[in-house]
Amino acid sequence: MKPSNATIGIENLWSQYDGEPILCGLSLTLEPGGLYGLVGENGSGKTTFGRVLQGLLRPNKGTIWGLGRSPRKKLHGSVNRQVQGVPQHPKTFPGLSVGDYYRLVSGKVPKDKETHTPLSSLSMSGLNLLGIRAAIHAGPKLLFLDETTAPMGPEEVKLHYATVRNFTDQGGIALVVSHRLQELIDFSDGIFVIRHGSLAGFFPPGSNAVNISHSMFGKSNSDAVLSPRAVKNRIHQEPILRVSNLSLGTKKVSFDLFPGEIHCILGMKEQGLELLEDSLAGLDTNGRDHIHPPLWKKNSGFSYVPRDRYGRGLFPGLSVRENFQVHGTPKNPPSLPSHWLHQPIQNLSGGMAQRLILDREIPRAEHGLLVCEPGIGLDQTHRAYLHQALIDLRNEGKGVLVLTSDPDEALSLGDRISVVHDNEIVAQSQPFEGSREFLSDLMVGLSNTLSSSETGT
Amino acid sequence: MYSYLVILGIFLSTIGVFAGGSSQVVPENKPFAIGIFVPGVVEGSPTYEMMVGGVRKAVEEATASGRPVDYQIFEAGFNQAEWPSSMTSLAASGAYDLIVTSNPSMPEIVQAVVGQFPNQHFLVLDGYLADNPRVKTIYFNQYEQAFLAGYLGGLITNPTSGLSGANSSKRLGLLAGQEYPVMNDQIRPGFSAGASAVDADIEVDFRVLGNWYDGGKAADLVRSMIGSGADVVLTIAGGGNQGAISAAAEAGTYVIWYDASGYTYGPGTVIGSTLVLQEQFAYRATLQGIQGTLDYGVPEILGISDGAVGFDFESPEYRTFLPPGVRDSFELFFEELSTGQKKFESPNLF
Amino acid sequence: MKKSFSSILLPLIFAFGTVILLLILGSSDPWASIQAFFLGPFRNLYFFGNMLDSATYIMLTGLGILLAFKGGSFNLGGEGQVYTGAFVTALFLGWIPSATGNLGVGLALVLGICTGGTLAGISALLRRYLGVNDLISSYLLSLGIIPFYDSLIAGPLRDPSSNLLTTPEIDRAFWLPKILVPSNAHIGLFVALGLGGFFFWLLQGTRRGFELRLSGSNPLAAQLVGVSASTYSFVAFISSGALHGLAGSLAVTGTYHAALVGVTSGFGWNGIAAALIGRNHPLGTLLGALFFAYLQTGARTAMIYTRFSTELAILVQGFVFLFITAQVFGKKQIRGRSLHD
Repeated sequence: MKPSNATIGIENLWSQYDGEPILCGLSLTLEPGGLYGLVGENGSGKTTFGRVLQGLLRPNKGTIWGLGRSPRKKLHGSVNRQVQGVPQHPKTFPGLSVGDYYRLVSGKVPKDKETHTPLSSLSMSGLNLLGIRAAIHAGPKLLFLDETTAPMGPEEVKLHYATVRNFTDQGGIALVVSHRLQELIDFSDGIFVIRHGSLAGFFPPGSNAVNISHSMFGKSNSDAVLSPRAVKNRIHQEPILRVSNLSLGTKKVSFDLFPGEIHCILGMKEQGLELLEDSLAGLDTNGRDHIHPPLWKKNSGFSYVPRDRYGRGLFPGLSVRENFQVHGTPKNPPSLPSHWLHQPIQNLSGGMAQRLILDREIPRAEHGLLVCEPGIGLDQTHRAYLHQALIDLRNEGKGVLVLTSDPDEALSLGDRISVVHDNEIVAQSQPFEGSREFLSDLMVGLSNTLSSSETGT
Repeated sequence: MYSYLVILGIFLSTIGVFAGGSSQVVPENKPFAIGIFVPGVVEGSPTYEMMVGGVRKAVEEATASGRPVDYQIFEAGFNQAEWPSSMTSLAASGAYDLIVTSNPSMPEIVQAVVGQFPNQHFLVLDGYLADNPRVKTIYFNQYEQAFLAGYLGGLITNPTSGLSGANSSKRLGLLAGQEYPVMNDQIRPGFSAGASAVDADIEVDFRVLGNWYDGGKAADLVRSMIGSGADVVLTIAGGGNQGAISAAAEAGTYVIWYDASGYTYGPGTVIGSTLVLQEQFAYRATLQGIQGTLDYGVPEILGISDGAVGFDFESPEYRTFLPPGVRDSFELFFEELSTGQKKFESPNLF
Repeated sequence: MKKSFSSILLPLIFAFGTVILLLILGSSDPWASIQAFFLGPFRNLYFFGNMLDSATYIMLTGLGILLAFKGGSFNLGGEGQVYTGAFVTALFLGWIPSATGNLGVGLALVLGICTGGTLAGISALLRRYLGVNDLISSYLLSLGIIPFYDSLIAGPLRDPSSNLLTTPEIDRAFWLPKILVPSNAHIGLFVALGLGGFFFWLLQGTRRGFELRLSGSNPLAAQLVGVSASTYSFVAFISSGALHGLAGSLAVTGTYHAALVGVTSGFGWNGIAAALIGRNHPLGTLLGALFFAYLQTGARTAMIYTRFSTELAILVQGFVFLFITAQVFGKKQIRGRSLHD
């Protein structure tokens, strides 16, 4: 049935990226005047959905009603003016003023604003708010906010939702992506949960945060593989890595890594893992004094498998073989057939590239290995290879530090799991029965469920 | 690496294909071939147009009289660093019996080339080179041309000339694109001498633009000359000449044009135009070259009495803007020079 | 294999197609023009030698461009660096006594290398310490310094006895020995070929060369594996300038024997094209330089033998350059498929 004109209907939306399905038959209905939350695991398809709505990405299949056009008929490279998206970090250009920004986004400048203020004088939160106001000023039907509250404090969050509410009160529709469940529960008219590219549930106001969280991460299918792991007696051992009072944003973290363990640091996107990776890799020089030993030094005995394989780990234009030999080892990659050796590295799939980096870095891990988001984009075979390689390394008595946003990965690998939320470590534990729900609650900031989860065990 | 070899292979075989087709039979009755080497481009250059025109006329006449002649224009472009090697290429091609060119800088280039190609003949206009049995040069006396311009300037700058733009000071201007031997040794002294022949008190303000194209800077220089009292400026600055005209037009003063008729560039401002009649000499020498009668090795220096240097009396602007008193004195002077009644000593030009 | 093949061949086919089209349109005798263009450079020793002479300079500048490329930067100031080398060489050799002979030539070449390197070094320093884009800064420096030399040559340093804009000719004692007389070719060709081989060995056969390539390919990743990318790129950029300076120095000692206004003759730009045709490979760059010199000479012979006027050579080179850059930069650069969502 075709929804009424004011209502926006999304029907059976499919979208692929690099042959991998991201949106898999997503359907939902947005009523006028509604302020909706949109939540889901990293990689569940939220951002892709936003891009499809804005007309930036053409879906492979599906219909969107109520935006005056079919998304299949791509407007010639132009965006859909009826949908305004605000990204988490709005793009700014040095030298632009607030007025210029309005002009850029909406084509007109409101009379009552201080339009000469330079953008460079605004804080991240201020910039996000400006982005929302400018987007509203453009007069859209639908506002898509992608984690706009991420840099905001509690008061700013209130202001944020008041601004959005003002828009929806006049008949507009807002869709807000956030990793902070509680604020959505407090301020929205209902929360859509996306999982694996389709709608996993809709939670009306007042729903239980824990239920939402479980809907996001799905039923714990990995509890079955959980088994108590032999954690070596650490009493007589010194940690091989000590991180103390390392600044992440405005907060600080401390943790350590022992030989013979896999320590997983688990957190959602933009909650501190990226900052932590930069510090541990030595790219953020401010953190250097807080990390012992300095992992980024050649003789530290640590090697590093970055999250961004192509940006940080590989050398485009060089051959597969040369990419393997960057440390000066005159060997060939063990797990690749020889016809690959002289191909340019770009020809490798994500999984093969990750395997190449692992094969390259593991032999160098004299004491330990830093691995960031190792499983992203890998299929079953490559994931199994990866996990086995890390476990073997642990069994050789080396330390493995894994930064990951995938709770299943942390659970199947970690001897110890630390959860990062909002740039601090909110909990540390060993895997246990039912820890999946517990960890995923922590990841979205539901620390008040800690007690209930523990009593449940 | 293999792809390079494959491409090299294709490349060589392509050459082979063309090479196969290139084995031409040289015809018995081979036409006389002339290569015209233009250091620059023909379009927009009266000097080169005259050279080409003269050669063309000679070719047509020879062809009409039953002697087949081919000619080819080779424009070497504005990068003078390339001229020597372009000239060498032209000679090395061996395709031309005679290479015709025109420019004061060509003798030194030709001299460097001629020894390498023992069968090549050259005709160089507007340049001077002695004692080379395969090079004919015809030089147009720049001292005389400048003298003529200086004499007219002297008549005009005279406060009693009757021209509205003439001021009280006895001062002329000379704007040069650059300093070069011909400019320093012939044009500048010739211009001064011509002015002095009218009135020994006349001074010449000499300025150098530094290039051949900057009209804006040329206008500034001319303004400055006008500011210090110069009311007639001889401008020899290529593209900069336009700037000289506009500065003079602003101030209501005058410009004298050089080498070709230039009245139309600024009627009322361009008050006189000296000429080099290159075309008829290019024609004459080319025809002799075709007929085998050109006296290579004998440089010629031609001036007013030879009819090679002149003045554009024909354009209507000449009558419209110059008062009869000035015209009469100037025409009388010119008449006496061209008939040889009057003579002035050119310095030793080369 | 197929890919790289078509990406070299396609622009060449387009370029030759354009040349043939131009010759057909602009010539009264197209077949003769086409023949003159494609065969001209092989018609006699003189043209062949001149082709090799042009190639010498394009090889050197091409290798310079390649080296900067490999270090991850773009040297767009080649023209100015070549001119610097030529200018300084002509001045120096005009100043020292001719009795110094080969020693003088050697010193002049070193001076050309050093000054070319210094000019590039300014851009390299600006990038390293102030983060100024070296593509822009090298281009602007070159743009600014060329008229400076022009005005010195046309002004105070001009040969008063010449009607050309040039410094006085250097003494014959300083002329490099010629090969293939009467053409312009000289022993500098062997220097260029030798350097091509040297850089091939350096880049493909040594650790230092490998680290340079790592630095240029992905500076961040290079830093993470302990290679100081910024140092490599710094040195590579200076070396690029040095090679350009050497080209200028050889142009004066080998071909022009003076610093004429316009002596660079586009060597800097053609070097970029040669490096692009050579697909960033040292030996490929040598071939690319030969190819470009071939086009240049072909265009010139076509102009000599047939009724084809104006600066065809420039037009043809412009087209080839256009097709090659379109080929290289037109397709989307695959630099890491970034992880989605």
